[in-house]
Amino acid sequence: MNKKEVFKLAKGFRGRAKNCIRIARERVEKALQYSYRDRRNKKRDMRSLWIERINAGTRVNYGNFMHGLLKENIQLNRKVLSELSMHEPYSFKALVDVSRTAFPGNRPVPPTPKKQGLSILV
Amino acid sequence: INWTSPARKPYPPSLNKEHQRRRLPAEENQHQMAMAYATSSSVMFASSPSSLNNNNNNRSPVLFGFSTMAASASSPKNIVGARTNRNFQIRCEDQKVQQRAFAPVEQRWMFTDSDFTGPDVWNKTWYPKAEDHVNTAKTWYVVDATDKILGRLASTIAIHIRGKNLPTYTPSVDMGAFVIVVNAEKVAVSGKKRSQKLYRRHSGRPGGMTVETFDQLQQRIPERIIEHAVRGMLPKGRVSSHFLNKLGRDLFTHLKVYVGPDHPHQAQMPMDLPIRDKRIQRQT
Repeated sequence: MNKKEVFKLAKGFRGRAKNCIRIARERVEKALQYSYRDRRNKKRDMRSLWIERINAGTRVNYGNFMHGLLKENIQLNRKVLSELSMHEPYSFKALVDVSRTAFPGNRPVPPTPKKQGLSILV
Repeated sequence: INWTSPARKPYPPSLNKEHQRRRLPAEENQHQMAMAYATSSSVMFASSPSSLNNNNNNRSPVLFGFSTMAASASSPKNIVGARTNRNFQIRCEDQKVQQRAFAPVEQRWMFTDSDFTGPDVWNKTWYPKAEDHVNTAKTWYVVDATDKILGRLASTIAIHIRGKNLPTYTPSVDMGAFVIVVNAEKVAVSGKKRSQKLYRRHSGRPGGMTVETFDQLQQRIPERIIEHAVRGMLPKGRVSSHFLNKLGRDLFTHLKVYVGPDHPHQAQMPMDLPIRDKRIQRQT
């Protein structure tokens, strides 16, 4: 590419990388490589962000929740589920209940009262 | 979430504006249908969700509920809005017009453009605006550290400060809460850690390593024990390094540790930190 294109892409870079062609050319090449790589990484990062948000929104953990939805053949994707968990809590609670009934392992076990043992006599 | 008071708006502040929540007529109907499906499914979980989804899989994705038999059976003259003069048509609009022309009357709204020109909050992942993480509007929590296992307590504190218990969690934004720890000198550790756990620090000069045990540090500066534990569980970031942002540094300032039972933050009206770890209390 010629210099004009390089400087156009180097806007906002730090120091001499936005002014001097030798340095700018290296930095711009690296920036283009990063953007190629990150167009693919962005999809992964978004999905992990949705999963983190869903996990925070349910009191059962994410794995059991998704397994319950899978059993009920609810095919909402993670993006929609994360938006529901943030902005539509009542709908999301309904989904969590569906998942809980579908997958019996989800039901939180109430803490069993501990045996008192001999200390009760002391 | 307080399920007993539905009057409280569940939306974050940036989405509470009415003009942003004005829905397209299309999405409004779909939202009501989705709500109906969601609420009904919780009642009749056995049959309705799977049957609904099976029905959807069989039909074509474009025209919801539209059977192809009806299109072929009806003649072009009976369909309202079909164009007969095809000399001046643009190709890309042709398909759209055909869809609109062959759709039944009650589904026309799916294929017409609406007049909403605001941001697309329904298809884009939500990112918090500045008003969603104002420091003055954050929750404050209080924990009593008496006889609580150090690591488990620090883990729950770190989760609440980082904001990972909220569905609005964003890694680049501080959405967490403030946590106050009182009675810090009474925190417990199991086993022989009280005399064997070592805290090291190095001044940078040769021979400048200082080693202290847990109880020596507890007698000297009791707050440092909890601070050290929680700082190790929060993201690290100092202002001097521009690779690590200063989010970690700011998060650590949201932890307030005090020796003794009282704290100066009564004005913030802190509530009790909800702890879900069953083994956090020392078994005596």
